[in-house]
Amino acid sequence: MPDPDQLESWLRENGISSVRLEATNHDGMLLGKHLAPAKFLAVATNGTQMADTAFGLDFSGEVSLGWDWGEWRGNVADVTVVPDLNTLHADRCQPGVASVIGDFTTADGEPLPVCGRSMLKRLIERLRDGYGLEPRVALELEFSIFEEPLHVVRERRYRDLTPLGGPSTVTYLLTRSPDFTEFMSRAAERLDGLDIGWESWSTETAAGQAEINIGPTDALTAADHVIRTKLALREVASELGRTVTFMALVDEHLGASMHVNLSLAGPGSENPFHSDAGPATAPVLRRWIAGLLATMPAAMSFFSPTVNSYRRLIEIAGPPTTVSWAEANKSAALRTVTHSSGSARIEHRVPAMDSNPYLVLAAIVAGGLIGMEDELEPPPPFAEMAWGLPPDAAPRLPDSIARAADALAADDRLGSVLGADAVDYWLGTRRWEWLAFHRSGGDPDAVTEFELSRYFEAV
Amino acid sequence: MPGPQIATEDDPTPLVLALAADLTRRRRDPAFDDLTAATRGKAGVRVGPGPEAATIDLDGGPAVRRGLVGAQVVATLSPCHRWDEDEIWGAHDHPELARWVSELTSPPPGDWREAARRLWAELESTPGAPPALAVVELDSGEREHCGDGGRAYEIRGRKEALLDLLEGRSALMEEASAGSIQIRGTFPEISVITGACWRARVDRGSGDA
Repeated sequence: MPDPDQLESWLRENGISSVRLEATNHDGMLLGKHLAPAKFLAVATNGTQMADTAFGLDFSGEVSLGWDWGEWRGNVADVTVVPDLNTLHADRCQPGVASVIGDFTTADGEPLPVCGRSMLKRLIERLRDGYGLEPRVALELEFSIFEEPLHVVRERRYRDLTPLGGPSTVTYLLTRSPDFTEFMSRAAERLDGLDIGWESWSTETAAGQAEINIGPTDALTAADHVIRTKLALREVASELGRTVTFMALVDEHLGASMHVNLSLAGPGSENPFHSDAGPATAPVLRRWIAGLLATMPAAMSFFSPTVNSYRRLIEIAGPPTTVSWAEANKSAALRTVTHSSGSARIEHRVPAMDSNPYLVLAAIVAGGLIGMEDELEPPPPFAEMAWGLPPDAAPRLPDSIARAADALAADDRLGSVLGADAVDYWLGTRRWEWLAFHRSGGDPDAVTEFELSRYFEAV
Repeated sequence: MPGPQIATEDDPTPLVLALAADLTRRRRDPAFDDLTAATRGKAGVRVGPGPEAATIDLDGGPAVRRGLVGAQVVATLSPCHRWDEDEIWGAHDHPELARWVSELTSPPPGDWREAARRLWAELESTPGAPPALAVVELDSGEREHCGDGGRAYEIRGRKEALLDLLEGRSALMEEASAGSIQIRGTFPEISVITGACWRARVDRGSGDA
């Protein structure tokens, strides 16, 4: 990152003719402006304005209604986006273009309650101040690629698309057709150009589906990487005449997750999630497991934010369906992998790919904080497969947007850590989403045109 | 006395909630309650030409569920959830059930003043609510003022438009945009009032028969 008083020379040396200011609203939609260099220099410290509609419109561009918006919205007031200069980056694949990620604030410079990135920063700071711990996050991002260019996909109303790479649904298959490899190789080049440390990519369990793994970083950077990766993949798709989507379920075969691999960095060299006493015995790890489980039903609203998110919760199909944990068991919601000090971690398998990464990581850090602050102990690990269970075998994850919203509304502890204003606002938007879905017909059995037209390009 | 509580499925849809509330309210009318007790079968309702639908099961305790499930008659409703007086599908074979569903979905007009007071009861303790609510009926010029606060959020319209709005059958933003309702207040108050109208719509504990 250049020093603020060296920005002008940095722009000149990198040949920058446009700076893309990027910010993420509550729905996880990437918003922003393209700034001329002089304008960027003028707003680099104090930010630039957007209308409050950044948080006021739903996925389809309609005004969302039904709850107390908070005084900060006024009568279509402005909100401010302040660039985080730590994220300023000259894109090597797009000469002349730089990008910077911003945080939403009030006109007085206070973090906006509904800004997920600001919420995540605050919770990381609380963990650091209280325990001297820093969350480290590696991500697995799943998405679906189609042969058709976007204008054709739109003409077909997002249906009857051809999965890129042929009909195979075999995971890790290296012999899908070369067009799949071409796409993913170009994607990897784009991520290199953005200095996003991808570690691997592979085919996933649906035709046209890929998974790309982003290596461990601090939690804020990890979330930044998600939004930049999604934009980069859309750009690659456009360049190659393909289409990509991050919907949680496009049709019955294409569930997409965003698995979060979480570890902690402490003041010493030891991994706080590892203990030589045996698997999943480290005291800090157990607090985090307990806190994540205790808050999981409520946090589900963030992990599965759209009506479409819940369609991926199919038994024995990959996503977890119960509030559960276990060592080395991918059917559980939390999979601990703790045999090695170097890689001891919790894999949180609940979040859907259409979720807002800042809110997902904020909810996860909040769960860990609650586990530590309240000194919670986890239940025994789940000893069997955690799918297809009878109702009394394990608590179920909320399986609809309404049930998840109710669970969040009932969890005062999580609400107090995340911020009551932010949670109330979020709940209002989820209930609006529920209402909009059902007024469109709300077919419970199949992905609807409402979902495809609303989410395919937006999430 | 009205009959037993209306059962709804777990995780009900907005239409299921609205119909269950309608049924609860309408059964406070003894004549309609008698008619309900004497009627059997499964009545479906559909909102407009779209897929939003629900089924009211009168066999056993009344129950409402999403979708058209075994419906013997199907009535098509307006966006305000009123029977639009088109022919009811299945009426030839099930005339009593068809009559019942048409009665349910074409209730007698309510009192806009009472509707305003019910809305205010829902609204007044809501965060972000205006200090008071004033509703003006344009034909008569009559005004209903609710609340003791200073500035009142003002809603003006003709009786039918007011009733649809205050009972949660229409949406404030859409009606104001279309000009059928005039409003005076802040933009965020539209949001809070919209939420209160919706809660008034599905509230089974209040409202006229």
